[in-house]
Formats: sequence, C-alpha cells, structure tokens
Amino acid sequence: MPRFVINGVFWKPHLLLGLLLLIMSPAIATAANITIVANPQEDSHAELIEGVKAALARHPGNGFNINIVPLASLDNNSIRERDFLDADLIVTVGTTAAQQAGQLSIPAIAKTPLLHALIPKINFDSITQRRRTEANPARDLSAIYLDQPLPRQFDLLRLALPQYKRLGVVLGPASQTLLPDMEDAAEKEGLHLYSRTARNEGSLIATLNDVLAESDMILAIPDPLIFNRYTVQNLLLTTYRQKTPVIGFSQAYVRAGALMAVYSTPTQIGQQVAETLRLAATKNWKLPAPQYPHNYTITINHQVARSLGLRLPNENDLQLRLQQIDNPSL
Amino acid sequence: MYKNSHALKVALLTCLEIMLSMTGHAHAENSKETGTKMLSDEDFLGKMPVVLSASRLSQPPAEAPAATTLIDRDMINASGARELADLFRLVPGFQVGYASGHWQTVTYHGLADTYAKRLQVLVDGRSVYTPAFGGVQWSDLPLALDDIERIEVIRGPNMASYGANAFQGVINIITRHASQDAGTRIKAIAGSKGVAEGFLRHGGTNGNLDYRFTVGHREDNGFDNRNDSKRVSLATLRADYRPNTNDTVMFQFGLNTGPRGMGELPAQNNPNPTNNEHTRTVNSRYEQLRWQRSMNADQEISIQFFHNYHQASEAWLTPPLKIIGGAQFPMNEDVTAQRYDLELQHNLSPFESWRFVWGASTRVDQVTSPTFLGTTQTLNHRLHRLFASSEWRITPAWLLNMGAMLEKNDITNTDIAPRLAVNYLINEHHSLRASVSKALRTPVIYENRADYKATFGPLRNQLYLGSNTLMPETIVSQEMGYLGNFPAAHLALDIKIFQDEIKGLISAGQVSYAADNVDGKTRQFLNGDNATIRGAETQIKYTPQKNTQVILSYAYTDINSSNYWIRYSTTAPANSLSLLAMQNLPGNLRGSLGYYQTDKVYYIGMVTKESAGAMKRLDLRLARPFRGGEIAVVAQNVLDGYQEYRYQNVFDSRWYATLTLDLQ
Repeated sequence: MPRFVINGVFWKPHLLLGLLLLIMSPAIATAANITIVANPQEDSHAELIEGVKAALARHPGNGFNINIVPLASLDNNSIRERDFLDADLIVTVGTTAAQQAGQLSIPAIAKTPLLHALIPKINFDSITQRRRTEANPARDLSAIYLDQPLPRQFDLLRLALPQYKRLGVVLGPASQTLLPDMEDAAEKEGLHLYSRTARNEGSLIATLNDVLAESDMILAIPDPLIFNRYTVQNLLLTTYRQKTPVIGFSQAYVRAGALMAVYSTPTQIGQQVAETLRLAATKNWKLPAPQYPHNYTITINHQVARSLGLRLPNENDLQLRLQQIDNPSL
Repeated sequence: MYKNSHALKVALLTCLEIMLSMTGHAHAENSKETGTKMLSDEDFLGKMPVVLSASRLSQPPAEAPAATTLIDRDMINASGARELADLFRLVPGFQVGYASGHWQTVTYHGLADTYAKRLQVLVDGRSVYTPAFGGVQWSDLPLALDDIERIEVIRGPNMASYGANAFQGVINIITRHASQDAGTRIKAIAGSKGVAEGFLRHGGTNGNLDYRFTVGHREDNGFDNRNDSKRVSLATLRADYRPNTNDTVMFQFGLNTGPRGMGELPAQNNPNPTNNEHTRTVNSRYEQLRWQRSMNADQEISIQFFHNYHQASEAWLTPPLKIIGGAQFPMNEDVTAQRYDLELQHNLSPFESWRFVWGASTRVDQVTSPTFLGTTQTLNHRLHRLFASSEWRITPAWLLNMGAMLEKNDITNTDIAPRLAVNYLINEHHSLRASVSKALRTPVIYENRADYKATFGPLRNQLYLGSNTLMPETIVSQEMGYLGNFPAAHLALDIKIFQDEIKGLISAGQVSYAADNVDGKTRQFLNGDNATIRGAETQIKYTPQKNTQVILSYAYTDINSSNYWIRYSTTAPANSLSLLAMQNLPGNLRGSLGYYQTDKVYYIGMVTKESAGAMKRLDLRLARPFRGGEIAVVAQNVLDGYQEYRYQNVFDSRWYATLTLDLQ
C-alpha cells in the first residue's frame, strides 16, 4: 500500500530546532499527526488530498504529518492500529470512509476527533445519529459537507433568474426532510415553492410533470431515488420539453444539460479541511461545528441557456455577487 | 456501396450483440444502486451522460437563420389530427391536400401535384422523400403519431443544415427518446368513415439501454364514392443505448405494410378508362443506426447510417376498351425505391461566441420500375455532400449565420448552395432577421429517366419521357423577419416577408414525339418555367392564462410565373389561415378547436372543372384525462363539406373517439 507522508519543514532537520520551536510556540510543540482515510484511487479523493497538502504548504509555520490510510485496508484484518494510535485527528473522505472509520474497534482511539469531508449533509446526519445513540457520545465529530447550503442556492436563483418566481422541487423519500428548510429559504427570497414527493422511481416522471405545470424553474435536490445517473436522462428531456430550466448540484449535471449549478470542487473542500486542521491544532483539537463549503464554483451551460432563450450574467459576476451576499464585508 | 445489404446486416447484428451483452451487466449495477438508501457521493462527483447535446438542443427562434414553426406534443394532441399530414395546416404558408383518402400532398408555397417535391422531410435525421418521384408518401411512413416528440418546420431553404432537397423548406420530425415512454400504452380509435385504429406501445429501461416498440393497425374507408380506403399495419422499434457517459447509440427499425384503394370508380365519369379501381399494396420499411459522441454540450461527433425501402405493388386489368375491340389489358405500376445514406457530422464551439457544424455524406438512391422507367434494371442516383455552417455572435446583439453545401451528383454534377443570415436582437423581447439563401433541387430519378408508355395492341401511347439534360432547379430566397414578445399582453408575434426567385422549374411539358402513334405527343420533363413568389406570413401565440392557449397562423402568397408549360401561378392559395385554441375546462376536461380556411388552389395537372374550391373547416376535440389514461372525442369539420384537392373528394363531417390507457 502506498503511504504518503508530508514531513513538516521544522520537524525533520534536528532536535535543536525542534526544541526551539517548543519554547516559541507551545501549542504546536511537535508536528501534528493527521490520519486521512480515503480511497486514493478515486479521482475526487486524490484531488481533495492534494488540496489539503497544497493549502498546508502555503503556511509553513507549523508541521503536519499527513498519513494516508487507504479505505481498502480497513476492510480486512490487515488494519494497522499504529496508523491511528498516533493520530491527533482522523479525517475521512467520502461517505464510505465516514461509515467505516467511525466503526473501528480500536479502544485507544475512541476519543480521537473525527472530521468527515466530502460527505453529503444528509449522510452525515444519518451516520452520526446512529453513532451517537450507539456509544461514545463524548467523541468530537464534525464535517465539511459536500453539498451547498440552501440559502446559497436560492440566492443564486434570484441573482441569475430574477424573472422567475415559481420554483419547483421534486423530493424523494430521503430528501423530503429538507422541505421545512426549503420553505423558509424560499420565503426569504420571495419565491413561490411548489414541491411534490415521488414515492418510487416509477412515479418520478408523473410527479415531475405535476411540478412542471406549476413551475418556472426546477431545483434539483440530491436524493438517491430522484437525481442520479439513471434518472438524469429522462428528467432533463422532460424538463427541456417544457422549456423549463433545471438548476443542478454538480458539474456533471451541468454538462448533462442542467442550466447551471453551484458546487464545490474536491480541491476547494481540501482547502477548507486544511483551514480546519490549522484551527483545530491551536484549540487542542476541538473541532468547529459541521460546516458547508466556504468556497464554491458556479458553472453555466451556455448552450442550454441560449436554447431556452435565457440571458444570464456570467459566472464571475454571479460568483462575486453571491460572495457579497455570503459575506457582506467583501 | 449500393450493394451493401451484407454490410448492413453485419452492422445491425453487431449493434444487437452490443446491446444484449451489456444489458445483463448494467441491470445488476442498477439494482444495486437503487437498493441503497444512502445518497451516493457519486451523485455529486461522478460523471453523467450529456443528455442535452448540441444536436438535441433547439435554436431559440430569435436566433434562427430562418422563420421556424414548432409543432409540439400538446399541439399534436389538441389538433385532433389522425393523419400526420394534417398537422402542417398549422404552419403558415403550408398547404395540405388529399388527392385521395390516403394520398396527401404537403407543400409550402404551392408548385405541387400529388408529389410535393421541394421540401426536405426528416424523421430523426432520416430523409424520407421518395427517390423515385420526390415528395413524401405520408400514409406509408412507419411512424405512429404518438411517438412524435415535436416537429420543427423551417420555412425557407437551408441545405447547409438539412441536406439535399431543403429547397423551399424543411420538416424536421423528432420522435420521443425511448426513455420517455416507460410502461405500456394501449390506444384504440373508432369513428365514422370506417375509422378503426389500435396501437400497443411498450417502453422500458434495462440498465443503459432504453427501448420502445410500437405496433399498430389503422384503417379507414377514405372519401365517400372513391376507391381510396387504406389498411396500414405498422411496427416500429427504437433503442437508445449508452455504453458510457460520452457515447450513445440509437437504433431504429420501422415497417408499414398494407393495401390502399386506387383508381377511379365507374361512377366518377373517369377521363382515363384504364385507371379503373384496383389495389396498391405497400411494403415500406427502414433501418437506422446512429452513433454519437458528446464531449460536452459544445462538441459532438455523430455517424449515421440508414436504409429506406419502399415497394408499391400495383397490378390490375383494364375494363374492356372499346377503341381496341373490347379487349382488356394488364396494367402494372410497380415501383421499388431504396435509399442508402451515410453521414458524418461534427458540431463544435471553439469559442463561446462561435458555433460551427460541418460534415459530409454519401447517398445512393435506387429505383426499379419497368413501367415508369421502361427498363427492368435498377437505376441508381449517387449523391455526395459536404456541408458547413457557422454561427458567429459578433456582439451580444448581432448574430451572423453563414452556411454552404457542396453537392456532387450523377444527374447535374457539382452544385453549391450558400446562405447568409443576420439576426439583430434589439432586446430580450424583440428581434429582427434578414437572410438570403440559394438552394437547388436536383431532379429525381423519374424526371431524369422516365420512359412511361402504355401499349394497347397496336397503339403506343408515350405518356412521359425523362431528360438527361436537366439542370437543377434553383431558388434564391430573401426574407426579413420580426419576432416580438409582449408579456403584458401575453402575446408572441412572428412576422416574415419574403421573395423567392425560382428558376428552371422542372415541368412535364407537352412536346411532339413521333414514336407515339396515338397523338404524336408526349410529356417530357424539362426546365421550363420560372416563378417569383412573394408574400407575408405571421404566427401569433396568445397565452392569456395557464389554461388557455391560442395559436394563429396567416399567410398571404402571390406566385408570379411565366406559366408557359404549367400554370404555376394558381398553385398556392392567396390567403390561408389556421387557428388552434386550447382551453382547460371545469371537470378536468381539455377542450380544443382547430379552424382552417384557405382560398382556392389548383394542383398541377388538375383541369379547372375538376379542382377543389376554397375551404373552411372547423375541428373540435374534447378530452378527459384520468389516472392512467385519457378518453377523447374528435369531430372533424363540423361545418359544411368542402373539397380536398379535387371536387370529388368531399370532406364532410366525421368524428372519432379515442381511448388511451397507460399501464405502468
């Protein structure tokens, strides 16, 4: 198994410098040990890890040992406890890693803080809910979600398509818990929200047609039943037929034919992981609350926009204006 | 390549094999996927196929280089049409005529007989006008009305984008993607005039394969007092397969067979006694395979192959002919026509402001008809094409469309057809367009090689003769257009004014012919008349509220022709109007109304006393959808009867009812 190790600049040379550091900066007396559980074969995971490393390297003031533990090694008996024993903090990448790392039966690390990255909020909630009731309520858990906060998506709708007021949403069994938050967000933006829940994949198109009849635009909400690789074809064809734009939640969705999307790349999330690590290191590994991605990207499918007869502001303008709403001091 | 039925078989088998080998695997993956309740990170981070690819996206009307009319699914339903051809009554400047109950001619700006030769008609990119005579045999298309997603009509020439024969306009029929029709649909239609139709459609998904098949039977008695009934059995299959997120393979097969009534009944005062009542048996089918790779919404490559096969068997015995001592003679008008076509197309957008399409195609048309062509041999017509068109957005408001097609064919050799259009988008609601384009119509095989003689004992009557010195017909079309949206008034307006200069119209002119010992004359195809067509057209869409929609079309057409060989100047109605109104009613009822009115038209070959008069027609439809289906009643022409194409074809009131069941 490949192991990637970052050596902190001040850790390697010699003891004297290390001692000097100890005196100057008690909080980061020695290099911190971070164990990242990920599947390095997965492009998005590799990209995220690169993002973490690059962001840490931009601040050479402190040392982090990054120890990558491949997800596959947790599966079998070859798991090496020492990968985890020294860890000040464990970062998991992706939903599967979050599930498996939380279930490791290594008593000595039962209190090691866990930071879950690249995980949809809905998955984090369901994993942590289960885990909290099972055991170990005291463990410090946090996350940097993969998905975008609803207000950000709704702000984007208002900025990009101010002429449209009727927002349609198709929810599934998993995503219908979002409805109260969506109603709040819609009200704040002055949008009229029309939502319906599809019970199964067979009723998806009928439900969508129902929503389309009442909507100027459709916001795609991630749900294992509703928006996936298998339903995307039918969904985009049906909405396009009604000349109704779809706002997606990933780059792939925009490429497939959604009008636009706001999403965070693994690199952007990696940067945020690095920021969180640096912050936690100064706070005795106390993790901040779970957070949505701070950095994001907006992509527009210009051919689709054109075909629908829509003139949108360009991506940079939208991004600037959205950032000003997110953080008015900018 | 014209003898490559073996290559075709191999291609089809390979396609089928790929589909079968992939379905099992893909299905397993699918069920695993839906089995898990957890959201997959892949849904955010994984790849997806390009669904709305460059070729699937339609151009917004304000940016199109020519006037366009869209007939969508709702309009198809609301029109109450049972015949595809009837839908074109909704398009300004189009005229539809029933030469018989099953023989419709659809033309834009006149110049038509029973074959309207100057339109390109595409079904999913497959050109369906007949290579023998030109024009489309609408009743013979292997296509069910319910499988159509939308029809885009381009009112004006555009060979660079739509290929050969896009001379006066283009009808671009797009069928529904197989994934849109999951489940089973059963549909039954019954009504007056012997109307009986039944359809079964089943669609499904198996992993990365979406498929749909439709089987159906249609029959009716045609017009009263005419021998023009039809019975159609049809079957179509469409499969859309995605081996990965970039590639799609579409395969289609279709079949349309059955007998049609032909000839004149004795009671019709038949001017041509040898054309007595008889039966024409049609056997029409096609296969089509298209591979498409979409790199993204900007760039796409596709390769398409299709084969059309149309066979009409028409043999009968004349009644006893007095002038030849009461003898009876066998007649035969069998025609077999085929088309093989291979096309490559590449769409790209190197810059956001510049889109480019180029491609090449090669085609062989084949016709066998001993009677019409005077030979038992199969005649070939090869056609090669290079085309490119580009759209450059000079500024956000100014758009420049340019295109050209280079064509080389067996009959008229090398021709070029360029076009240029400028669109000015005044603001988001108003735009102007000016365009000039040139297009050509290459003669069809019959015009080039006709040798149609009727021999009755010692009498030799040479009816038609082709000509190998024909030039292509040319059109130079100039148009100006305005598109306006008036949201406060709920109106959308489209106006077009145009002038088309057509030169070298190919006409069957009467000439002396010594070998003919009946009257010493024959009709020979020659580049005879010229015509200048001027006019104005408008489409108005009024949507006062969600449940109401009204679409009005009006056209004024004036043909000025030399009228030397053929009286072309009266082949289009001066005024034509159509109105389609849709209204949702209380009690979950959907009401719609279609009103059509045109001035008198003479089709080519019709003598004055035979021609149909002006027409007024009102169609009504009332439908009630219910969970899992719909029931509808249609009354066609609730007004007085009018004449279609010729005076005997009286279209009086008729009705039919439809029951549709959609089973999941």
